Amino acid sequence: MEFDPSQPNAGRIYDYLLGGSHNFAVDRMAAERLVQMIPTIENGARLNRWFLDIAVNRLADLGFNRYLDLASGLPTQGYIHEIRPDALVLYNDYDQATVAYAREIIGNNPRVIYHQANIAELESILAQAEQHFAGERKLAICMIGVSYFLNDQVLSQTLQRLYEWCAPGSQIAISWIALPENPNPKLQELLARYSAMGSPIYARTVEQIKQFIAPWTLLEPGFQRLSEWNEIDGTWVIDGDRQEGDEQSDMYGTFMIKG
Amino acid sequence: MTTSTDIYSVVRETLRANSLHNAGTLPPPRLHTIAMQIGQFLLDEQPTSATLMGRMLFQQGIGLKSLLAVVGAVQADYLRHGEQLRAIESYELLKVVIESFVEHQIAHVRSEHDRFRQTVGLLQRSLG
Ligand SMILES: C[S@@+](CC[C@H](N)C(=O)[O-])C[C@H]1O[C@@H](n2cnc3c(N)ncnc32)[C@H](O)[C@@H]1O
Repeated sequence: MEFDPSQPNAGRIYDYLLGGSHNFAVDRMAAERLVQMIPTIENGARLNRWFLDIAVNRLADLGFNRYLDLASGLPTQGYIHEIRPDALVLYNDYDQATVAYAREIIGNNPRVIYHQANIAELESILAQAEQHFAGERKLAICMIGVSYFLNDQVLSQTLQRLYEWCAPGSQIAISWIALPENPNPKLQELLARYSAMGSPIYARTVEQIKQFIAPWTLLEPGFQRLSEWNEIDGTWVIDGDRQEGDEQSDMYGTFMIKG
Repeated sequence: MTTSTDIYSVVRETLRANSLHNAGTLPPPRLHTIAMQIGQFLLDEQPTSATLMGRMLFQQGIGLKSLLAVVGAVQADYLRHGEQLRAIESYELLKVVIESFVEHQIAHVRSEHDRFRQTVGLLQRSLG
């Protein structure tokens, strides 16, 4: 997609949901339509962004100074290079408009590179990483707010290939949406709407998600809800009219290591 | 009489209850440090500058709604304990905090808008 201020853009919509200023009226209108459809979406965006902050600080406390961030969107409002100005960061997104705009935001900062590629074309991202991190492969990797937009094949290949490629001791932080095996009609409608917008959400249960993370080793505290990471009471439920006995949908955050 | 533990827990609980009004840069696990700073500020005989406090709270990512909720909760707590004088004094102090907070917020929004316009301009020129 070209940079076109007359068309809503996913990165700018997300920025608006987080309360940012990097958006046009078309983005705000599109965001408000999403909020009407899913009133909890703003909270979901915040929980995700807070988890990114928690993740980057946790990884930095462990001494990581090289970050490969997949599906970065707009690096505004306290993104990785702002949280850790001393780190080397490689951002990525497949959306041309997001990448062009993000590069202007970052400006001339040799520590930070923004690479345009689909995660499905991981080799091109890894080639950039090899260059930017000067051959050092012990990395902190972030996949926040994207795992549920990747189909089973891409998700599993990505996690497998990242594992093979990076050095032992590397860690990866991922946020997930877990959905029930048998979504209720309201949730099915919601998933159908996302598909119609061209961004299908891949519904997986926690048990199914756990299959994808091998060969990575899950770190403490394991599969934890984003609400728990963020010490928020209650959970983030996107199928608001869930029936008694329906399995609950929620967002989770995990850390994994290559042992 | 309200003790430092009371005021700290009032502020902390109010901040926690309003955490979704805060910025994406302020995960709730960090709120207890901010609650302690606010509690300390309120109980100090000679508090650090209220203007600096307003700026600090804005920079840390506290939302205006959270801040206003804290002001309301602190007043209610002092009044519940029959401490009218303290309620008035703290209100005067917190008013300055809010003014400074809002000033910094307005300046930030203006500069973000300018940065947005500038970035869009650069981008449009570079795309010809
Ligand atoms: C919800 S935003 C997450 C942004 C950021 N990681 C954060 O946590 O704030 C999702 C981003 O993923 C990007 N995206 C989705 N699928 C992708 C893919 N297959 N490859 C690269 N980027 C993708 C979208 O363009 C969008 O900017």
